[in-house]
Amino acid sequence: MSNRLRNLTRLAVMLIAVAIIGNALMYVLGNSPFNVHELSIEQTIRSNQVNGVLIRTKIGRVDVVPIEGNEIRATLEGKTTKKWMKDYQLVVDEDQGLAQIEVVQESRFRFIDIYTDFKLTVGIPAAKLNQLQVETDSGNIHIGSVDASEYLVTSDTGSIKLDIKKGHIHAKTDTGEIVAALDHIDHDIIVATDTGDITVQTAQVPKSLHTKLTTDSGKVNVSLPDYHDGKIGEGGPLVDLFSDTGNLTIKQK
Amino acid sequence: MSKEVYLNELIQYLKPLPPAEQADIIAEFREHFELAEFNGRSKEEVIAKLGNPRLVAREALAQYQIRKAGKSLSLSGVIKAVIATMSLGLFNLIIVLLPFAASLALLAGVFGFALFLIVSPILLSIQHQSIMILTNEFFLMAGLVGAGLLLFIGAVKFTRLYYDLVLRYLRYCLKVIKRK
Repeated sequence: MSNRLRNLTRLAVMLIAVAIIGNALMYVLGNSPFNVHELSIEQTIRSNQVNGVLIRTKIGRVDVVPIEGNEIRATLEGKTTKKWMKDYQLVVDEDQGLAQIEVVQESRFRFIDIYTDFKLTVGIPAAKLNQLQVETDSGNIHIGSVDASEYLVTSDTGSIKLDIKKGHIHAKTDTGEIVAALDHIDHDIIVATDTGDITVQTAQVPKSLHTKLTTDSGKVNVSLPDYHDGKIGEGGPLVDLFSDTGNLTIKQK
Repeated sequence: MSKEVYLNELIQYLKPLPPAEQADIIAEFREHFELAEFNGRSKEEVIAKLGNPRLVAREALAQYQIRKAGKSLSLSGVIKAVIATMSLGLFNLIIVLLPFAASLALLAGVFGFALFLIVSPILLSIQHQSIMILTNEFFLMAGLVGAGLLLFIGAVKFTRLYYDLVLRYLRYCLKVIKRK
């Protein structure tokens, strides 16, 4: 047993030495799996007929920002190893007023990936959308001051941050943190995460509001003026926050 | 409860132990009774001091399993020792089961990761679906397999130490229970 382990150790050390020397040479030649290259793909859609945007990606983070002009501009930027350069496609499509933007990974299997880091930036002109929907697997999502009636934002493990004026919000992530910063709350906000914290910030204190705040082991902190017994005034929009272990906060910006 | 009832009850609970071990324990307890009688203490007093025969038997069983596991370190032996120690009470379930389950899962994770690295050439071939991978990523595969082998050897060596640490911890838990 001991001899066998010793021989295996020798083999392992030899393989590692060969790997270090070989990869160093390949790196110098620019052909090793450790050579990282920049990727940048841009696609546009005319925004005249668009009243909804759906953004979907399994890789990287998403940043949605307001831009000038009359085109929705999607840019996929980042770095990846040489062999994966052609593996990513940025697909954009517009159908019956819904603009769909999706980052597609061509290869089905990805067990070992030395380095890939992407960011999808979607610039949306000032016109008001009915719905803005963003879905990621593990990437963080940031939505800037893009005007929409409804925001549907979901991620498996990424964090979610919304910096918007107002609107109906549905946000959900399994492990990430969620921050929704608004100018004023005049529509329902429904936010859920398993383990992350949830923070809702508003610049103006609403005249009426009612809340449903549920957490198993987190703390609840609402520091809005005139907030008593789970509400401000009578009626108003619902702020429904749920987290298993995270803290729930509603405060003024 | 009389001395004979106590000892008979103890014999029943000690049945999972080998006959020689049972005989040793019963002889030891008989001695306790005789010594107490000699010193003029009542049977009730002795029984109260010795404790519930069921718990006494469980403790003896745990000690036996720990000793047995220490002689030939193996996962099944360590698991039996852990289960025997856990059966001593709810407190043990928490202080024994949780650290053991967490550390065992960690160790299994290290073995799993080592295996993942060792079979990485197969995974890379599936990933790229091309034989060209052999030329482009040969050195990467060599490094991953080498690292996997080293990790596996390290994990194998650590496993013996881990079993030893678990048994020491179980002995410590038994000592704490005895003091109580």
